[in-house]
Amino acid sequence: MANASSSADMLASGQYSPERKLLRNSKFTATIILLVVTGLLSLLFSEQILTGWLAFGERANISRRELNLIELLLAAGGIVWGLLSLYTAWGFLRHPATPSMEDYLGGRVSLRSPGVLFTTALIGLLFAVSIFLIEQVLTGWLPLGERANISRRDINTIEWVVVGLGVLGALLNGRTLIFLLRRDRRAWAWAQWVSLLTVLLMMMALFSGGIDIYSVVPPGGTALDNIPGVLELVALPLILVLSAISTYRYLTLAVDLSADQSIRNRLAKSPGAGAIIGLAALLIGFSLASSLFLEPRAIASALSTNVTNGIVAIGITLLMISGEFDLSVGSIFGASALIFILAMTEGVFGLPPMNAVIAALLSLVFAGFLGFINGVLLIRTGIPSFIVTLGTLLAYRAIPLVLIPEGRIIRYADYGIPDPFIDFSPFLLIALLVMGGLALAYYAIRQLPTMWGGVRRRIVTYRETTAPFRDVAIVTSALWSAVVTAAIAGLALFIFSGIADLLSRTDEMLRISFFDLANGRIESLPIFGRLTADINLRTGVFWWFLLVIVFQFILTQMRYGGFTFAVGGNAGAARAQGISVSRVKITNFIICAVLCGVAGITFVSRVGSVNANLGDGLELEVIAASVIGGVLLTGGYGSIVGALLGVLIFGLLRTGLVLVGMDPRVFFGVQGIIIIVAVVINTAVRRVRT
Amino acid sequence: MNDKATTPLVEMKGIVKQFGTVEALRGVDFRVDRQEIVGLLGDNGAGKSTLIKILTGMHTPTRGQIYFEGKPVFINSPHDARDIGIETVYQDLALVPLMSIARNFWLGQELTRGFGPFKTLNHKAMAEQAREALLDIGIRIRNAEEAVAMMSGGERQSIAIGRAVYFGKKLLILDEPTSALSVKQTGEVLNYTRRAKERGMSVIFITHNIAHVHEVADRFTIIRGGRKIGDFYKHEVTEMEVAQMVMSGAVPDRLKLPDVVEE
Repeated sequence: MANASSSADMLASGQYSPERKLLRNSKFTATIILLVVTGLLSLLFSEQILTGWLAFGERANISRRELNLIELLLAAGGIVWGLLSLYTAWGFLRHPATPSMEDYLGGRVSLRSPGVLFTTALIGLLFAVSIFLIEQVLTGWLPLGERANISRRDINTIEWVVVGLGVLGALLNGRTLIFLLRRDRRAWAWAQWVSLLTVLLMMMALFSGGIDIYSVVPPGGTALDNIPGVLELVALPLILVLSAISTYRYLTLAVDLSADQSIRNRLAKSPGAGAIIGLAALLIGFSLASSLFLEPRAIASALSTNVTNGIVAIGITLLMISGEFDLSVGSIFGASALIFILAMTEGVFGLPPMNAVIAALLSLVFAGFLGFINGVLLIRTGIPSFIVTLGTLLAYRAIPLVLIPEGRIIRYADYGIPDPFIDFSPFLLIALLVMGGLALAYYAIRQLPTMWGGVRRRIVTYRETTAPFRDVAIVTSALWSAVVTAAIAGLALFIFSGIADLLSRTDEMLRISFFDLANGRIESLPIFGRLTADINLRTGVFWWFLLVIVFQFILTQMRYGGFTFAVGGNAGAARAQGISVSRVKITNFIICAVLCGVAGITFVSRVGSVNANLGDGLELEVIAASVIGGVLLTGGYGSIVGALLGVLIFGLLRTGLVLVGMDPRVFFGVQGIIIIVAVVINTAVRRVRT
Repeated sequence: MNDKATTPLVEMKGIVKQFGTVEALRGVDFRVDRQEIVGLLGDNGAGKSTLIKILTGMHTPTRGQIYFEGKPVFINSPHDARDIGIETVYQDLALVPLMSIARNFWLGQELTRGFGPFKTLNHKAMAEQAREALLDIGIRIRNAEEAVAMMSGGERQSIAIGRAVYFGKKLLILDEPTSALSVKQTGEVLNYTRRAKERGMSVIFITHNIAHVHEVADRFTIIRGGRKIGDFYKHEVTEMEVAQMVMSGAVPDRLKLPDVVEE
């Protein structure tokens, strides 16, 4: 990083205007990092292939065909590539204001400057590699299949993914190459896209088990026997992290307003961009480090154990976007969970024990009331929410401490009451399904003709327009229309079969356990079939994701969401436009608290017990997840999906650290570091953007 | 309805405002005629913000009456002010920086489709109409989906003004709109202010610096120490004299009006 900043200084004294300098500066850093790493790695790889240290050789033995040719090709490619990368990096460092692709395209420089040469060669090489990859997969030269067996996942899927990505990569690269040779300005946008896609492709290849770290150190040997192999162990995570950083920087550099950058713009604008990349890096890192990580049961448990945090994070994100904090979420969660379980067993507020559904509603109303108190305290006193909710954090904690005698744990099972069941008429369900079917039909009638019409229009006007991505747009819009059509058809089938099934047994009442409905184990899934006993996937995950979708929809597609952003972004402007700031804030406090109540219900449904300290420390974890998901601490910016990703990052991190054999107590340390890094990145990005 | 052209758009009569024992305004009369740009001048703490806050409903006057288009009105909240057609553009409070131009333009009155509680925002229509509406007043924006944070101070003010014009407001209040702007940007803002007037709006331009408003204002109202020093049409006074009055409150003899002397 040191050399990058000094080069930035050199740039500053160069010929570029401030805006341009900023753009070049970060692009420059990212480029240098990538170049040096790819250069070193390529040389390392070629050396390993030539000497046979890397297990590549062993695997290639298995294929027993064209072994030498492939190895030689790879080795030669690696050497050329490595030298070229290093030469380019050196050139960049020596002449920081080295002309780039943009200058080349503007006709200001020749092809021979390092940056231009590198980009052209990169694209050309990527083109060749893509073709090579497809060919190998199709002909079975490369024993990808056998390696993929290691990961125990469906081999065919991976092969098809690789072929598909290879075709796509080849198309993009080929087209870019043509553009470059023609000195077409659009090549620049293309080149960025291609490099991004390539990083993704590489990640995919790593995913599929294409590179297996464990075979790097030969069995029985020590680390000293395979120094390059050990270096690779270090280098791989390094390149992943660095490529993630560079990708992120490229994405968020500055929002380029030209139309052909729309996807990049959308990503750059998305608060969750950092979280998406972080999650991808985490998934890849841990899946490389532990073969257990991507197992269904590890994922299912990471999802199921985070339902509580995830649901609370939705509320806190909404609240933080509107510019307020709620530190009392843990206490509200604990208190409402207690009210829920007590209402079912002993009765609360002088009421007798009641039906689970009524108890659930009661606990939600209670939670909402606590949130309302928070909101009103904040609005009436004008004290910062940090302090107000710090007070209520302690005050609400007293509720369970008073209601539960010292040290006791309230267990549902202790009361000897059977699990609550909900009996309902099949006709109710039929009515619901019919309503769902009608809504679906309405959506299909409105949307499908528009979507397919759009595809048709794109094809018809293909020759008349000059939009650079129009062919890609045809393919993607057609694909997307097909996916939506298939999804609608699948849902329709599901509804019809459900109705048919229900009609055949209308004489009996349906009965379902309330706990199973709220957060029970899912026995089977539509596509995956029956889940084995070790996969603990909970219905709570479904409710969590549903809530994420609903609130993301509210936030981005409805007026209330806009009010929330406006209130957090600039309360004065919102007020001047007639938005009631206090009403929005209080509503968000209530929503946040009610979601804590929902989390409490899912918790009780799963665990069946509540102690007085339930939810202690939840607030910080949840706020941290929201921040990692891109929410600004000052409000006015963020997304619910980002919060989901933030919670997933923490969940997977915890699972992953256990799986790689790290002391789980380290988790807090790692968590802390991640939070700081996330906030630093978010702030930096916002500074660049504004 | 011939009086429509002659009755002032806004008339504030005998406005007194006390905060506890402090008297911020001591009986101020203020009026804005139709299609008129009034420069409201006064030093910091003179009471001009209090007067405007009363007009926009942020404060209620202790005594005094407001007439809008000749009819007495009671403005108790910013909402009331908006409803009768008063739009205020505050320097820092005009727009939400992290939201797009289009969303800011439509903030509080978003275009939706659907029915009942299922209304969803019509992002596309909002972006297109905002762009067209701004272009119509001469404000060229690159992309309505762009965040306001990316724009300069002058552009932000212009968009806020354009929004007020588009929504057919009758009175536009600009609170120190140009104090943080460069000369060029100030020129742009003054330009749009003039255009707002051409569209039939009246404008109150609040500032403590005569240089900012002299070019566009038709009339100046000068406030000092909670009292009105006087109303002067542009042809009556020089820039220098106005600046003097803002600073010292001393009205040149030739301009002294009977009612001012009386008090």
